[in-house]
Amino acid sequence: MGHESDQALVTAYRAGDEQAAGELVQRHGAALGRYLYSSGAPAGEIDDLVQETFFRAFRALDAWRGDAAFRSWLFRIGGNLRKDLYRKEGGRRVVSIVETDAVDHADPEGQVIAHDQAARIRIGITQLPRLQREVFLLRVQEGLRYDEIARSLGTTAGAARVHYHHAVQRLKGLLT
Amino acid sequence: MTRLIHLSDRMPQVAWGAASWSPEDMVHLASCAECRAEWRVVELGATIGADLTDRMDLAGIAARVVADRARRAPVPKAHSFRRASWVVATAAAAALLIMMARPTSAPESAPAVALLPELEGMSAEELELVLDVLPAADGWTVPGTNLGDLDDGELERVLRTLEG
Repeated sequence: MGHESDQALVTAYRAGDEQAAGELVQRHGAALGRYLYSSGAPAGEIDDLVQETFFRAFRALDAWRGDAAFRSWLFRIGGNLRKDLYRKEGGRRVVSIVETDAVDHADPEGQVIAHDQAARIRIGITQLPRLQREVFLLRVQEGLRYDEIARSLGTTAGAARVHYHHAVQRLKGLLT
Repeated sequence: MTRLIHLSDRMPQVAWGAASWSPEDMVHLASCAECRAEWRVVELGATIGADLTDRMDLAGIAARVVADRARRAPVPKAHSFRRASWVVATAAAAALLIMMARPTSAPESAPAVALLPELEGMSAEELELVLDVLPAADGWTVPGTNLGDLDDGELERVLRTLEG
C-alpha cells in the first residue's frame, strides 16, 4: 500500500478500505503538523489540529477533485481550521518564541542568536499574507517547484514566484 | 543577477539536502550579504517544526480517523433488525389484544398492561418469551388467536385493526 498514489488511496477509501485512510494520515500527517506549526499553531495543539483536519477532509472528500495535490488540499483545510480557532479566540493567540528547540550548551551565544532568528522568522511567517505564507512553506518545507505550487494553490507559476520573492524579502527584513 | 536567481532557486533544494552548493556558489555567498540573508531565511524556514514530527502521535491520529469513519458509516438494515421489529410489533399486538379481550370482570391489576412500556427495551429473545408467556399469564387466552403462528402479512393486518 505504501507505493500507491494519493488518488489510489482516496479511491480505496471511498470504496470502504479503512486502512487507506490510515495510510493517508501516516503519509501527510507530519507535513501537515509542520505546516500548522509554522503558520502559528502552538506545538501542544498540533495533534488535535491535524486530527480535526483529517476528520473534516474525509467527511468532505467529494470536494477534492484530484486536480490539486491531496497534501495541499489538506493544508488548505488545516489552515482554515487554524484561522477559525484563532478568530474564536478573538485573535489573541500568541506565538510562543521557542517551543521545541533545546539550547546547544557548546555554543550558547550562537544558539541564542539562532533561536532569536528562528523565532522571528516563525512569527514573521505567521504574519505573511496567506498566499505568500503558503507559497513560502510549500517551497521551503515541501520542496515543491513553482509549477507544482501553482497547481496546488490555483495560481500561475509566475505569480507563485512573485509571492515567494515578496515573502522572502519581508522575512529577510526581520533578521537585521 | 543571474547568479542571484540561480542561488535563490537552489536554496530550498540545498536546505532540504537534495542539492549542495558549488564552489562558485559558496564564493558568491561569502561575498553577498543579500544572498546570505535569503539563505538564512530559507534555512530557518525549512527547519521550523522539524523536530515536532517526532512527537506527533500519527498512529493514534490514524486510528481515530478510521474510527470516525466507521462511526459515520450508514448502518445497513440487518435482517435481525427487521426480525426484532416484527417481534416488537407482535408483542405489542399480543399485549393489546389481551387488554381488549380481557373480560370486564378481570382484576384491575392485570400484568399485560404494565408490560407495554417495557417492550421497547427487550431483546428479540425476551420478546419471543413474552409471546410465549403472555396468553397464559392470567390463565386465559385470546379467543381464536395464536399470534406465534401468524405470518408477517397477518400480523400487519392485526396491527392495522388495532390502530383503527
